[in-house]
Parts: sequence; structure tokens; C-alpha cells
Amino acid sequence: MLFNSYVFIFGFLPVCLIGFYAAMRVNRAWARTFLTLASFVFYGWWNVEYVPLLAGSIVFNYLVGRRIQGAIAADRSKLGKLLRTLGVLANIGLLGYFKYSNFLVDNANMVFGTDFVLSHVILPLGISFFTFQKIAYLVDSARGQIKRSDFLGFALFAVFFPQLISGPIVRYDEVYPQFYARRFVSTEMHLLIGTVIFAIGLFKKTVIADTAGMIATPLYEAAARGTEFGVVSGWVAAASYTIQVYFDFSGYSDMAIGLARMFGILLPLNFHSPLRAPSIIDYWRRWHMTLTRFMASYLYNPLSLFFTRRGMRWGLERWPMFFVSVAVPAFVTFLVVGIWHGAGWTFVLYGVIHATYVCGNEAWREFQKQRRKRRKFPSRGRAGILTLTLYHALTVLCVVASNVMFRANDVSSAGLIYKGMIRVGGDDAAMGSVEVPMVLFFILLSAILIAFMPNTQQIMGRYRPAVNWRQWRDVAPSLISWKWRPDLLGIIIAGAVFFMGLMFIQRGEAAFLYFNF
Amino acid sequence: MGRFRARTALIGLFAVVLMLAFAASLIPDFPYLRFQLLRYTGQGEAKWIYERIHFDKRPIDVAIIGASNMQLGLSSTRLKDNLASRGLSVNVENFAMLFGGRNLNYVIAKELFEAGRQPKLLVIGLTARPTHFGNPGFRYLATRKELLQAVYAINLNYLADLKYLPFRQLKLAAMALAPEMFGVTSTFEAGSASLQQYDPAISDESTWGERLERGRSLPPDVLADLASQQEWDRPLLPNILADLEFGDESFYLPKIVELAHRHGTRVVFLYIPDFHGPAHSLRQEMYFRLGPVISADFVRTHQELYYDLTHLNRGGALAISDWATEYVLTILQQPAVSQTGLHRRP
Repeated sequence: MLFNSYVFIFGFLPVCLIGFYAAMRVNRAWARTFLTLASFVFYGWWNVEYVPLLAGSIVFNYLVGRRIQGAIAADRSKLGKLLRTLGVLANIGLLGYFKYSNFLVDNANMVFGTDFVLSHVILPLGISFFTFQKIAYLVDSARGQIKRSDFLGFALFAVFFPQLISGPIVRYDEVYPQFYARRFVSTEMHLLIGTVIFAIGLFKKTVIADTAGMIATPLYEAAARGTEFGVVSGWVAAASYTIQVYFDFSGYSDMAIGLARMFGILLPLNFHSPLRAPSIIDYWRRWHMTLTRFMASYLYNPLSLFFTRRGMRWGLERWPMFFVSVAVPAFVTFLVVGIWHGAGWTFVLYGVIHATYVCGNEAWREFQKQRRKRRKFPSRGRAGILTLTLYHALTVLCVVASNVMFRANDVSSAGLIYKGMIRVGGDDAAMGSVEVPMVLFFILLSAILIAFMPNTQQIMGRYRPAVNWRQWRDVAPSLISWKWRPDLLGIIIAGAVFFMGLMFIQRGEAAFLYFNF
Repeated sequence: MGRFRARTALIGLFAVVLMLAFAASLIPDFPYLRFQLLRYTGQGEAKWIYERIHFDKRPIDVAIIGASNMQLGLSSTRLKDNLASRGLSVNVENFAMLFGGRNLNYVIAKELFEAGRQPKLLVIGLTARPTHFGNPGFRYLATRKELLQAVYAINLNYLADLKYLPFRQLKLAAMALAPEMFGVTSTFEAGSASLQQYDPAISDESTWGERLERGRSLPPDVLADLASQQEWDRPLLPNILADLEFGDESFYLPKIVELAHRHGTRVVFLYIPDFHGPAHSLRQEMYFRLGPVISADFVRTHQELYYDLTHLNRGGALAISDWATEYVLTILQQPAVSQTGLHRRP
């Protein structure tokens, strides 16, 4: 069931809210149970055969988690870590089987000339997200950060439908306490704020993202057919897909946050104007923030710590130390990020591209740091306007270019588009009968929106739109500032935004891009 | 924020949405653009139908409406030529469209008559069993009034069709402002190719440029296998509730017939069966009450005349057209109203 569908908005959601309210009148345990069951119905709507898989994953991880928590509480950390490792491997195995087995078998056949046949494995919806959520739970349990949990609370945390399919990847300690807090009651205020946030997300998805998709999709299909690209079609393909994926995924995240808010739950932010970031490192802090957070907590930091200790033991300093303690962990982390997105060489290369970007950015920072040390500068000082503009432009350029690889059907299609992007002169067959002025106007309008307008949480900043809002409230303020209030103008604007989002659903219910992961 | 204020704001928000939806529904209509909404779909001939009715001044003497089995099963040019060879010079046009659903047939018939056209004969195609859901093209081509008046028992699409209206009107307004952006034309170009005869039953190309293999027929063994696997749709409800189950057919067909008679137009029902399909349509009795029925059940076992299980190929369409000529000639020679009698294959 898509969030941007009438059956969800006017069918499932009202029934869910009414049922939740009614159950809350009895007691909160009933409300939690109802919400858990409703979330299973939501998941089963896609394919009921995979509900047992989800349920099994929940039961398995709950039981393993309990054993880990018990071992840690009994001061048996080695047992706790062993159980953690086994649990994590089981989750990765599950993800690996469903997501990567076809890819691995196909490539093995190609490399070794074998002819293994694996019947096509269907990827369960949201498996990348809910598996990572469980891994985080197990690791946090082994770190002693989760003391105890009850099954119903854990099940609701695991299956809560707003974030189940495409995130945000929530941590246990972020949402579980909320299910038991006095505030866990949906009031009119939560409903109102949640509806407005949902409306903004819906608008971003159906009006902006799907329009960008109408430009991008034919171009990437043309690339898959081997059509020659020119400089215009190449850059239009790159830019339009960047607009599409940004508004699609951030729109989805807004809808997830809005829906959770309708039930009185605050989710973490997942996007904070990443395309306004002045560096790739900052971009990843603000793009798919919960994934970056997961990777940093459970992959980068442990790797960096491990290699830093090794480096100190080996007596490494400066650049060699930077290489082992920063560059290698960063490269590995972003390679995994790329692979996590999909089973295909384009995703591997996407990971390599961003790994290179991040390592380059880190190296530049290290270079600047060492230069300041040598010159004994007291503080960094602010970069000039020209320098900042250059940093921003370079970051956007790098992101836009990498998104070509992310979207392309295969590496050779991406190559065609890249060739077009640097081509001077010649025919632009891929542009076909596209209205170039209209397309460029749309891209320019979207760019202005991204560059100058406040993002969803900045618009809703008065009402604590996310659980970690305090941490981001003052980060990267927009050039044009506007905060929503429930006065006449605010209601009219919110109503109009919601209306447009609802209307444009009927252009065709396009699935969210990140549903593929 | 107080509870009362939040509740008021929430109600206000939804009220704004409803008001905007209502206002959008009232955006002026652009009929020619409306008939181009389906331009790049399997119902793309809607544009040609509108142009033939409104911009082509040649008379329309025999109009054909129905579903795709009629669209591909009766050749307007062949019928026209046959009647001409019998001394009757008439223009025949096939306005049947893809998918069942009398609601869309009604929209086409109403467009025809309200444009001042007075065909001598309206040929209404029949299928083995009427659809339960109406035609999906209805929400795109029907006027506001037709959408609102589609009130009959178990119209499952009523709300879905109405909810599309605000978006449709917004889209039509955008199309009127920038037709090139949508690949449509806001004004008809005289001398356009659409003025030529379009006969979907024998043409190799649709009006929207799709290639059709009208000459093909399926190999004998495949057809026999498919036919043996067919399960003819049985009605879900007892016969006494047939009007309820097939609400679309029961609601719109009498309206079409009444509309035709009001304009002095004769009506005949033509049943073209599926391959190895039933010899007559499920709602035969209702059709006989409304007008004469001719049944081409002789064709149902001739695999060489079928394009697929439910549609005739070019040869089949020509055969039906030749066979139907005598009936059409007889009916055209009758008085305009009060047609009675059971017409079957000789």
C-alpha cells in the first residue's frame, strides 16, 4: 500500500486512526496491540506471503536480544557479544539471500563459466530497512544501551507502519519509550501537525518528484536502448533524476514522520536540505541521515577505532595515520552504502564514487588542518563567499554526477550519459521531442526551491517536527524563512498543498524509488 | 496550541481541500481537449470520434457503438460499399471503443445526437456478458453532468469517477493554456488526416499510430487449447437480480435507445460471439425488449476468422459485414420508429 494512494489516505489511515483512538479509550496496551496488528495488515497488503518472514524476523531478534540483554546484565559480555555476532550474521544472511543471491549467482556464472540456476528470489518489501533496524537493536543491546524490552513494545517498534517500508531507520531508544510515555495519545494537535507534515511530503512526491520522473525516466530508458546523448540531454538526465530522487525520498520521509506524528510518535529526521551542503561529508550528514547514522555507529566508528589503535601500535603519524584511521574506514563504509542500495554493479560503482568523494573531502580537510598547524593559525576562520560558493557548487556537481550511476540501468547506459555530459556539439538524439525550454524551466524552478526555500522541518519548526529537532534546529537555515502557524493563511496554504498533493496522485500512482531497496 | 484551536484548524484544513476540489470541478470544460485525454492510450480514437462528429460535415447515416469486439468485428467501409452496391448511398462510421461499459457508449451517442447529427441507424454491439464496472474511459470523456448522473445500483466507480473530476478539469485548463506541452491540439486543423475514413476493423494502424496485425489468425492447436480452458463468466446473482448485477447495462442501454428514438434513429443490436463462445448474449431478453437483435453466432467456430479469443480478424470483420448487410438494408428500409420482431440468421 503506497502512502500516496487513495486506498491508504482515505481507507487504511482513517480506519487505523479511529481504531487507535477507540483502543486508547480502553487502555494503552490495547492501542499498542491494535497499532501492531494494523501495521502487519499494512505490510501484508503488498504480499501476505511475506508476513510470516517479517513476524519471524521480529520473534528471532526479540529472543536473541533478550538473551544478549540478560548476558550483559549478568556481566557475561563475551557471551553477549557472541550472541550479538550470531544475530547480526543471521540478519545479514537473510538480507544477503533475498537481495544479493541472484546477483552473486549471475556473476559467479559469468566469472567461472558455470551454469548455476537459482529460481528468481522476490525481494521482500522493506527488508533492507527492517533488517538494519534489527541489527542496530542487537548491537545496542550488546553495548548495554538497551536494558530490557517487552515483546509487544518491541514488535510495535519493529513493525510500526510509518517507518516500516522505507525508513527512517529508527533506533530502539528513540521510539520505544514514546510508546509508553504519557504523551502516547493522539491529540488534535498531533493530528494537525502530522497532517500538515504529511501534506507537504505528499506534495513533494506527487507534484515535484513525479514530474521530474516524467523527464528523467524516458532519458534513462533511451540510454538503456543505446541512444546517443548530447550535453543538454546528459545534464537534463542527471539533474532531473537528482530532483526526482531528492523530492521522492524526502517526501516519503516527511510522510512517514507526519503519519507517526498522527499517533503521537516523533521520528528522527532523514533529510535536512542536503543539496545545500557545502561538502560531501556534510551532504551525507544531511542525506538519508538515519542510514548515515547507522553506518557511522555500527561500521565506520568501530572500523576507525580499530585501525586507529593499530596505527598507534605501528607508530603511524600524519598521512599514514590518516589513511588507516579515516580513509580506509570511510572507503569501506561508503562501498557498503552503495551495495546496500541494490544488487547491481551500478550501485557498487555508486558506492565507490562516493567513497572516493568522501576520502577526497577528508583528505582535503586533513591537508587544511596540517597546513594550519604548520602556519600556526589560531582558528579556522570563515571561508570567503566565493570559496563557499565554489564548495557548494562542487558538492552539487559531484552529487548530480554520481546520481547518473545510481539511476542508470547498467554501467554502459551510465557511460552514454556521462559521455553526453562532456560532449561538445553534435546531435542530441536522446532529447527527442522533449520541450527543452519547459524542462529547463522546471529544473530551474526546482533548483530555486532547493536553494532558497525552507525545508519541511524548518517550516514546521514551531512544533518540534522530529525527535532530534533540537540538534538540527539551527543547522543550515534557509535564505527565505517562513514558519507555519495554524492561522487563516497557514490553514489555507496547508489545505492548498494537501489538495494539490491529493490531485496529483491521479496522474498515476508511482511507487517510491526507495521501495526498491 | 489549545485543543479547540487544533481541532478548528484541522477541520479548516479539510474544508479548504474540499472547497478547492469543488472549485476545480467548476473550471470550464474544453470538450475537444477532453476527447484528447486518452490520446496516447488504447482508447486514443476518442479524438478522431470527436472530430468526425463535430468537424467533418459529411453525414453520418449509420453509427456503430459498442466494445472492442464491435470495433474490430464490423467494417464500416465494407458495409458502406455493400450498401452502395445495393443502391443505398450512406456513410457508415464505427465509434466502438476498447472495453465494455455502456456508460461510454452513452457518452458517444449523446455527443453524436447533441451535435445535431441524425443517423438513420444506430448499431449497438453486444458481448456475451455485460461488464460489471462500466468503461474506464468514462471518467475522462463524460461531461460533469454525466458523471454526476451516473447514479444506479452498484455503480462501484461512482466515487472514483467523481474524485477524478477536479484533477481532470485542472489538467484540461493546463492543456488549454499550453497544448504543445501535453501533445494535444486546442483547435482543429482543417484538412487534417482525421477527416479520412477510419475503419478500425480493417486498418493496419490505429489513430494513435499503433501497428495492428489485423490479418493474423491464431494457429488451430492454440485456439483449441485456449477454448477448452475458457470459463464463460456466469452471473453472480440470480436472474431476477440481473438489473442489479449489470447496473451499467440496465441503466444506460434504455437511455441510449430512447435517445436514438427521440431523434428518429432506428436501433439494432448486433451480437458477435467469442470463439466457441455462447450462441447468444446473457441478457438477450432485455435486448429483445429494446429492439431487434441479430446474432452472428455462425462465426463462433471459425478459427480462421479470429484474431484472438474475443476479437475477429480482418477476414472475420469482412465476413460479418457482408452477412450484416442484408439486415441493415432491411432495417433502413423500415419506418424509423416502432421496430419489432425477432431477427435471426436465415
